[in-house]
Amino acid sequence: MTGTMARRRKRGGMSMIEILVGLVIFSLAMIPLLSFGFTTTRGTHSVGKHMMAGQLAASLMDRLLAKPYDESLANAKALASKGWSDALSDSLLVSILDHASLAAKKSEIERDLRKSFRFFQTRVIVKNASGNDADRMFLLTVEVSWRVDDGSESSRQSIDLKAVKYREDQ
Amino acid sequence: MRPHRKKRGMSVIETLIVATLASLVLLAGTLIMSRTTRSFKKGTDMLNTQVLMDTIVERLRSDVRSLKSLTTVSDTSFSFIALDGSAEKQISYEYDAPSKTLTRTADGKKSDFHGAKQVESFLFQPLPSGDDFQYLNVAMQLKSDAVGEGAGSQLSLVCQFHSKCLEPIFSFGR
Repeated sequence: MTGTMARRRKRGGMSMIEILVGLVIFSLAMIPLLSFGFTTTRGTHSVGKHMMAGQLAASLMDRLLAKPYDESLANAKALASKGWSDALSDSLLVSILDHASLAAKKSEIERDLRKSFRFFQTRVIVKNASGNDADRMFLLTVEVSWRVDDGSESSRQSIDLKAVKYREDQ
Repeated sequence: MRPHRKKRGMSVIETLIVATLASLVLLAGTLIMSRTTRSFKKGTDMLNTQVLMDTIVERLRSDVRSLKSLTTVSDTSFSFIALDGSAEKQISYEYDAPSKTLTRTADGKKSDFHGAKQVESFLFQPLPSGDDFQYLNVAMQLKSDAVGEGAGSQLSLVCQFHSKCLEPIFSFGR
C-alpha cells in the first residue's frame, strides 16, 4: 500500500511553485548572457573611439612636428595656452568642407563629423628640457579625450601621444 | 488516509498562469536579445568602417611623410615621388566616384584597401596650393558594406598630412 502511494506521488507532476521556481532560476541564468552581449557591444564601440582618437592625435602631432623648431615651439605653446578645445573647432581642418566639390555633401559630412567627434577634445602640453638642452629640445604631448556615451561629463576616456622635437641645426 | 488533493497535478488556471509567466519571460528575453544583436551588428559594422578609415589614413600618412615632390594633383587624385631609403618611387592615389573606390598604386601594385564601393566621397586638397605644396588636407566619407535590415554605418573624417622629405623650393629654381 505504501509503495503504491509513493509511486502515485512520483507521477503527480510538478506543482506550480516548483515551475515558478524553475522559471525564476531560468530568468536569473539569462542575465549574465544578456550582460555579456552588452559588454561586447560596448567594447566594440570603445575600440572604434580609441582609433578615432589616435588619428586625431597623430594628425595634430604631425602638424606641429612638421614645422621648423622655433615655429613648432611657438605653435605648440599657443595651442597649449588654450587648454582643452573641441576637436571640431580646428579651422585648419574643417575649412576643407568649404571646397566646391564637397558642396553637395557638405551638410551630410558635417552631420557625420558632429556625430563622431562632438565629444572629442584635444589639448597640447609643452614641457621644456632642462639644463643645457633647454634650447635644443622640448617634449610635446597631444592629449585627446572623449566622453563615454553612457556616462556623464565626468566619465571620459583619453589617450596621449608624446614626441620630442629637436632643433634641426644642432 | 492521505487526502487526494496532494497527489494531483496543476489545475487549468495554474497551468495558464505558469504558461503566461513563461511566455512573458521568454518574450522579454527574446526582445532584449534581438536588441543586443542589432546593436552588436551596428557596432561591428561601425568598427569595420573605422578599420577601413584607419587603414587608409595610416597608409596615406606614411606615404605623405616620405613625399619628395608632387607630380599630378586634382580633387580626386594625388600622385607624388616618395623617398624609399635612398631610392625614389612613384605613388598615386586615385578616387573613382562612380565605383566609389579609392585606389593606391605603388611600384605597379594596385590596392583598393579592401574597401571597394565603400568610399562615398574623397577629396585631396594640397595647401597652400599644388605648386607650393606644404601639407595635404583630406576629407572622406565612408560607408559600411553591410547588407540586411537597417541603414549601414557612415563615417566622415577630415585630416591633415605633412611631409618630412619635401624638396626645398629653391631646388626647383623658383
